[in-house]
Amino acid sequence: MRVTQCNEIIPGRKIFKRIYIAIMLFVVGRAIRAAAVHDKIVKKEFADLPDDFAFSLGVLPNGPHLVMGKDKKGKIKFLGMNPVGKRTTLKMAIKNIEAAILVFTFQESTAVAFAHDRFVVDGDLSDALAVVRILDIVEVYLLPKFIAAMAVKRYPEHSEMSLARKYIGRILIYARVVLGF
Amino acid sequence: MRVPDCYEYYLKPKVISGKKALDHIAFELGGMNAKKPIIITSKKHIRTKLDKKIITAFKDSGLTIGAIYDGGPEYLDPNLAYRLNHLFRWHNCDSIIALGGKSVTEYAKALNIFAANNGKIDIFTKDTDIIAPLYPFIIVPTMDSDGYESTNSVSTGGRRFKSESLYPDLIVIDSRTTSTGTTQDAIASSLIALAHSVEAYISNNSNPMMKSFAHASIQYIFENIVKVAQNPRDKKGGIALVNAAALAGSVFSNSSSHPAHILGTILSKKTGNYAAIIMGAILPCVMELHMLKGEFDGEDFLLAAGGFDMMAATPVESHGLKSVEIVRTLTEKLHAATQNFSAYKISEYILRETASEAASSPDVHFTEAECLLVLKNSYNGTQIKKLPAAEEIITREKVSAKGGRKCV
Repeated sequence: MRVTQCNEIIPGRKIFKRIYIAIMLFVVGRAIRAAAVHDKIVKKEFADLPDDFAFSLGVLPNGPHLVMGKDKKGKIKFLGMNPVGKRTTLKMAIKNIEAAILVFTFQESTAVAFAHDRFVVDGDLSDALAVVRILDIVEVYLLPKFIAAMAVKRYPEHSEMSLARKYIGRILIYARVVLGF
Repeated sequence: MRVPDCYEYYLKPKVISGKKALDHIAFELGGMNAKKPIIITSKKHIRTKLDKKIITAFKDSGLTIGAIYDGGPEYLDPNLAYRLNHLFRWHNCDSIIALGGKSVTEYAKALNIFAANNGKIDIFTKDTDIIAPLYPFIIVPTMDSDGYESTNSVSTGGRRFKSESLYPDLIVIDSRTTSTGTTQDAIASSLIALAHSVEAYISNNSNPMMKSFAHASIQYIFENIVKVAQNPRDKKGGIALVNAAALAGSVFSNSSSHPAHILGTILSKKTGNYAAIIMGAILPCVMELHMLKGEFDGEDFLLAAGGFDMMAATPVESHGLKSVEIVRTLTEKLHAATQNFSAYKISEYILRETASEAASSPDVHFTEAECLLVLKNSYNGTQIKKLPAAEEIITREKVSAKGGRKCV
C-alpha cells in the first residue's frame, strides 16, 4: 500500500499571525476602555448593557483573547488577555486564525465577518451587536479613513462625527492606549 | 406552480463555501467531536500540492492529521478500502476527509463503511443495511467531479449502494482546491451537473426543493462554464461550478429519474469513452423526448439558464424548444464533440444493448425504443421529431427475445 504520509502529521502553528492578532486585541482592548471615557456614544452603549456585563473576544481554539467588563461602579475595565477563571456574560470568538486575520487586517469588516459565519457568539445576541457597534466606533478613532472605511459597516458622516470630535478623540484615545491609564 | 400533494427531500450536508473555507474544517470537526482525521486523496492532487494546502489550513487548530493516503486506483477496489481501514485504526483516526473527486470520495465512503462496521468485509457482498453510525465524513471537492461526491451512494464492482448515512456531513468548497483543475475537468463536471439538474425538472417526483436546487445549479453553470473553460484558474467561476456540482448531487440523490445519467454511464462503460461528453450529447435529446411526451415545458429551465429577459422574449409555446436550443448552443461552445458522439464510431448493436440495459433500470422511465431513439439521435446529432410508434416497440421486443442478447 502506497501511503504518502504514513506518520501522523502535526500541522504546526502560525506564530506571526498569532502575535499580530494578540497585539491588535491588546490595542483594541485598551482603546475600548479609552473610548468609553471620551466618546458619548460608546459610553451610552456600555451604560445600556447589564451591570455585570463582561465579554471576551478571541480566536478559537487556543486564543489569543481579550477580556473586558464593567466594574461595580459601572466603569469599563480591560481585564487582560486570558479568559480562564473570569466570569463573562458574552463570549465572542472567531472560528480560526485565518478568519481573525481577515478581520484584523481589515479585509473583511466585522459585520461582513458575522455574515460570513466567521464568529461564534455565546450569550445575548443584542449585547453582541452592541459590542460590534462599539468596535466600529473604536476602529473609526484608531484608523485612517481609507482603512476604517473597509473595516466598519458604514463610515460616519461629518454630521454624525465632526472632524474636531474625531481628531481630538483620536489623540486622547491613542494617548490612553500608549500610556495605559 | 403545481404544489405536490406529498413530497420528501432529504438534505444532510452542511456546505461551507468561499474564502478560507478550508480553515473552517478544524472547527467543524471539533463540533463533531473528532480530533484526528485521515485524508484520502489521489496522486494527481498531491502533484498540485493540495495536501500542503490542507495541512496549512490545519495549522494552529490543535488537531493532528492521522495520515494522508493517495494510493487508490481510479476505480474503487473494496480490498484496498478494507486494508485502508487498518491504517485508519492503526492511527486511531476518528473522521475522514476526502480531498478530490471521482474515486477519492468513493474510497472515503467505502472506508467509512468498513471502519464503522469494525472492518467486516461482507458488508459489500451481502445486501445488508448500513446500520452502524458512520464516522464524521467531510468532502473537499475539486473540479474533477463525476457527480457522485455529494450524493448518498457508493459503487463497487458494478454495484451501487445507496444509503442516507452515506451523505457527507460537510462539503467544503474553497478556491484553493477548485482552481487546480483543467478545462476538461471543468467541462466534464459541469455537463454531469447540468444533466443531473435538468433531470430534476423532468423527474416524476419533482418538488419545489428539488427545483430550487436545480435552478441555482443551472444558473451557476450557464453563468460560469464558458469563463472557466477558457481559464480554469478562475477562482470565482471555479467555486460557482463546484457549488453547482454539489447542488446537482443533492438533486440527483433525491430525484427518481436519471435517463441521461444512466444512458451516459452505461454507454461510457461499454465503449470506454468519457461519460460526461456522452451525457452532454444525450441531454438535449432526453429533453426533446420529454417535451414530445408532454412532461417538460422548459419554463423553469429557461428561467434558470437564460434569465428573465430570455424567458420574456420567448413565446410560452416555444419555451421547451428554446431550452433545448440553449443546451445545444452551450455544448457547441464548450466542445464540438459534445454536440454528438459519432466521432467515437460506436456500433449500432452497442447502442441497442445500452438501450435495453437502461430501459431495465428503475431510474429510467423510458421504454427500450425510446432509449434507442435518444441514443441514435444524440449519436447523429439530430433532433427527435416524433415519438417511436407502438409497433416499433413490439418489433424491438421480438428482436430482443430472438437475438438472445445478454440480459443484465
